[in-house]
Amino acid sequence: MTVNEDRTRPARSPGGSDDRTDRFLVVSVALTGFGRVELLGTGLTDTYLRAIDAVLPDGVLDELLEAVGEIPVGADHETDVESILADPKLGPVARNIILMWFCGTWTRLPDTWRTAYGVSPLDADRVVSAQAYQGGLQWVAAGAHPAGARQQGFGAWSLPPEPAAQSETRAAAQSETRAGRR
Amino acid sequence: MNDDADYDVVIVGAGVNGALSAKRLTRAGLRVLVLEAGPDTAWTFDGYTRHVSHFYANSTKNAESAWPPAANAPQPDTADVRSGDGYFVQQGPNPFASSYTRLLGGSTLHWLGVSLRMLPEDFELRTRYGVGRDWPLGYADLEPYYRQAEREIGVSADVADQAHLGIDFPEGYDYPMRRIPPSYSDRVLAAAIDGMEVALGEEQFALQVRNYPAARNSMPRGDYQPVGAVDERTDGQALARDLGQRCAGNTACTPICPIQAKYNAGKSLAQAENRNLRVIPQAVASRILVDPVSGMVRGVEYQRYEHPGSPRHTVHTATARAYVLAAHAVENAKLLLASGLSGGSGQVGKGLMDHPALYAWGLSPTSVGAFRGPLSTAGIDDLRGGSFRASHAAFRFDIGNDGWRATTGAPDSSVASAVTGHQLFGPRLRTHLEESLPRQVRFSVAVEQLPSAANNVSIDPRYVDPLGNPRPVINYHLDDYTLAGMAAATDVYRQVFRRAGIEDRSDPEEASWMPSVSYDGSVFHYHGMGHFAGTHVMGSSAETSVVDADQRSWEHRNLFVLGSGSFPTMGTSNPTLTMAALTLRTSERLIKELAG
Amino acid sequence: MNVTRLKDLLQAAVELELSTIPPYLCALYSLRPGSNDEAAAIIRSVVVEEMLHMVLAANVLTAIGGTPRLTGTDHVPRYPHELPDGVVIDLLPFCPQAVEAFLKVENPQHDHQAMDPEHPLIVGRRPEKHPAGATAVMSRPATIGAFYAEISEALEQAAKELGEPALFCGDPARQVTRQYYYASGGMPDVVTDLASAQAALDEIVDQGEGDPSSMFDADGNLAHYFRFQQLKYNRSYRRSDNAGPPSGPPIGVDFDAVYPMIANPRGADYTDPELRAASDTANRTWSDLLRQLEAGFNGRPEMLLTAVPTMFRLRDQSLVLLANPLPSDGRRHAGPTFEWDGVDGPDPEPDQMKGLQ
Repeated sequence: MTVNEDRTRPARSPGGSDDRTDRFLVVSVALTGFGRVELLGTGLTDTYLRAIDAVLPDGVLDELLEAVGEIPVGADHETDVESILADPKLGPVARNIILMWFCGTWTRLPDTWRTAYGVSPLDADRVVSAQAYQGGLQWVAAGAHPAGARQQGFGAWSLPPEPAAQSETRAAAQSETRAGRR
Repeated sequence: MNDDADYDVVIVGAGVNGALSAKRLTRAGLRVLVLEAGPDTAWTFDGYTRHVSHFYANSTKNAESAWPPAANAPQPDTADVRSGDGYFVQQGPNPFASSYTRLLGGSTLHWLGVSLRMLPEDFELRTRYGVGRDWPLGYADLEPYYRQAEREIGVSADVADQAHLGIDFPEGYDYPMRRIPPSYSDRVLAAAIDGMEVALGEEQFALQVRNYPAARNSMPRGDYQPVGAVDERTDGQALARDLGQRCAGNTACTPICPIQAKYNAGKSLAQAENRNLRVIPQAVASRILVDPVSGMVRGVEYQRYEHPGSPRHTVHTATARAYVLAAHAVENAKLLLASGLSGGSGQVGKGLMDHPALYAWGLSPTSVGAFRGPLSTAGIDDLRGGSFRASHAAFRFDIGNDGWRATTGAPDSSVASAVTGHQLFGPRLRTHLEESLPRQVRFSVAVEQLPSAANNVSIDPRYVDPLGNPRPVINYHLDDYTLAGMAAATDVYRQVFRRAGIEDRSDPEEASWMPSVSYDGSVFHYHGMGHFAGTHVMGSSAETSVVDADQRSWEHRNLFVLGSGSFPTMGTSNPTLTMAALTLRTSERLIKELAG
Repeated sequence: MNVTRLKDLLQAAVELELSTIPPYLCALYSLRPGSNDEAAAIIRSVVVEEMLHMVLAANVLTAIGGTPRLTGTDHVPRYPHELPDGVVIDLLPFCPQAVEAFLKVENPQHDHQAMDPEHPLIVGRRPEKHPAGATAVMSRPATIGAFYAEISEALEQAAKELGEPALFCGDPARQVTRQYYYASGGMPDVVTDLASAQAALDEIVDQGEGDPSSMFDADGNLAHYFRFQQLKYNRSYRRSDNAGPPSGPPIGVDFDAVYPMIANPRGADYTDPELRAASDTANRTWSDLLRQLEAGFNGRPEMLLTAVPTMFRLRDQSLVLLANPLPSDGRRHAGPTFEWDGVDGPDPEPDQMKGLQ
């Protein structure tokens, strides 16, 4: 592939080669069941990283990212994720990351967590942004579209829903995961 | 028009009734001033776009979520129903659960768009069934205006679906646009239940999933030209003229159609004859001034504010030959009462009605493709009429296309329950959601309510808003007639769910914002359909009603009070189409008098 | 006048209108969500009308007994694409260069410098130009307007030679009517004779370039060229403006709030298998759309109803690609490639259509 440098564009790019972003994506793939291309395809990776960093005490997110095995590693991170979800400190954060990807929201952490690890004024139930609402993966899982956005066109609702299993991207993502690409 | 223009008519309120009046009157050459209590932010493309963004970013997605109120024109919010500390002063015993919006465009900004006609029998409940009140006019009187209203607000439907329960149409008539395609969910449900029989009292009814008439743009018939988005800019090229095409299935009729494929009153106002129209937003009518000798209205006092957040305002008086109140059933009554115009009948504010409604929700055995399409495209309305109405309320079912969004807050709530409750993650979480979300089914059951003197809007000097205007004080209760209707409706929805194999998942604890009411050993959790009616009732005598069949005040002959407040009863149809028809009828009479 | 040649010309017109759509869609979809609302409305309004133009051209072709084709490697446009008048259009994200190209497409008089082949957006990404089908059937017309003028004259001559009834021998039932195609940008005219054919061709030219003496088309809408001028100058027109630059308020054009898609992307550029799969999915959808449109133009107008949801599916799939940085690049992003999937299979299934009719 020939790719030429484009110096007219700013160098920042979401989810590019940034190591921390990569690690966040690996964790997110394991947490959500969505592939890397699908997650990046929301255009929200950077937004979510920033939102999490803003609300959590320093180091908590990095601790979570470190807890998922080496990158690149094998097939699935199911065992890693199970232990993270069982962890009193990392579990609630990981669940919030799932909710964020699916719903575009930040959910107030449990009181016990807040007491033990710190309270941020940003730790409240809220929609991360108007774009995050529209990018929620729950709508993709439903075979639908976010209410009030990404209309499907006149009469689309009358057609049978697209079977989820036919998502090619997902099939590719799963076979890649199985092959232990990363 | 100039500021000091001499007006023929002052209209209070830029909702559907005010806008339709303004359109008709200005086009007949009459000079019209419209006073709108709220801002006109929905009037331009960028303003409307900001409302859409507000909805996206709002953590609640209820009917009001796109339409923040101006402090000086406060409005009820369904989020306040349970707490009772909203705009309404709720005196119970049951909370009144509906809301409306005080902005240019009014509550049509967030209505569902269903545009049913009332049944012929709805106009004569007293005569036929010995309950409620008769209207001073009948279906046949209103029928030509229904046709006009269907064209004005742009209704999509097929006569072939709608001619039942006594509703008839003149030979050759059909709606201006073809019906909105039924949802896949409607088709699945119809295949399962069409023709099933249920009994109410002595009568048997065969149920059928039936397409709804809707004020959403579809494929036009004949030369009808669908009306697009409103984009009234003071200068600059209006870009949004190309928006507002056919309904594109945004699944957000309530709270906001992002492309304005659904009717809102701004569209009618935009079609008014501009040279004869002046609209003043952020102008709250505070008092109607009446000549004590003749009883004629001689002006409307209004408060104009520059900043929606600051109570600073100036007071003005608008004068004209005739006056139209089109401010909403509650606001009309409030303004009359605040002006000391409670009338000889004592009926102002009395007889407040709504459609208290139940939700039923469940999981279909197979995918119905939930969360797609207009919020509702069909319903079961075979139980809107029948002799059972002598003993209990009629009702109809809206079939939702938005899963359990309205009831539990799905899909967010479904995701949360899978992640936090069932501890799912990764591919299993995704698969679980893919399999369950598209199976979510929701009915709304709108139940009829009869007028009662105990249900009313009043004012109390102790309760005022930032401009010193009274807040509505609401007394409201659900009587046995309505509650028995709820019981019958519950029985029917359970039969329908069983027939269709839908697993009943109705759990009011998951919809904790809804008030509850007990009846005969059952507890019903209800919500309001936003259908306020009956506060300035029309009738055939000044002793028993506020306005006559032309919606003209008995006591103040140059004052017209428009809207569902004029309804003696409301049957089971949502009121917009009927009040639009009444408004067009009143406009015709006003034009004859003032322009003739 | 040879009717076969006339059909070839009209087929070329259908392809011409089709070929403008992917570049507009790339610009539209590359806008980052939450930005450029007015720009999106402008581009969208033009796309909708280009689709109408394609329908109008197809109706004229059908009216003379032709069969519009949109599928297969012979008819699906490839990029960079050379229009009959020599203007080259690329698949580009929303950027000043794309706007300049759009202005040139819509108005041959536009003073436009052809894009510098060394420009960073396209250097190395213009392997070969793909000429429009029209260049095979017509000596190069100076402008698109001249292209349509030639068709118009040919129609008139053929009608004179053969008689209108003989020329307009197509099955009226194959015309696309407003029952099946309706968008806010106008409604299709049914073509049955010379007058209605000329009216359809006039509307195509009128909406694009406008009447030279006015910025507005016959319906009072800004002609496409002037809509794009608003993007170039980041201002809207006032009613009182003359044909110069617009003088109205700014419209929030932000060329930075855009996904930096590589120019003229190809599926083969995507070496990452997951990305390649996403691109293949989008191309299948694009090809489905073309199959549905072709069926819609050839006696199954109800297929145009399914084409609408297909197009929105293509949008969603394109948005996923556009938000993905190229893994080996880190700066520029993937994008929809609008490539034919190579499946000349059976007609689309009709059974899904029940609810729509």
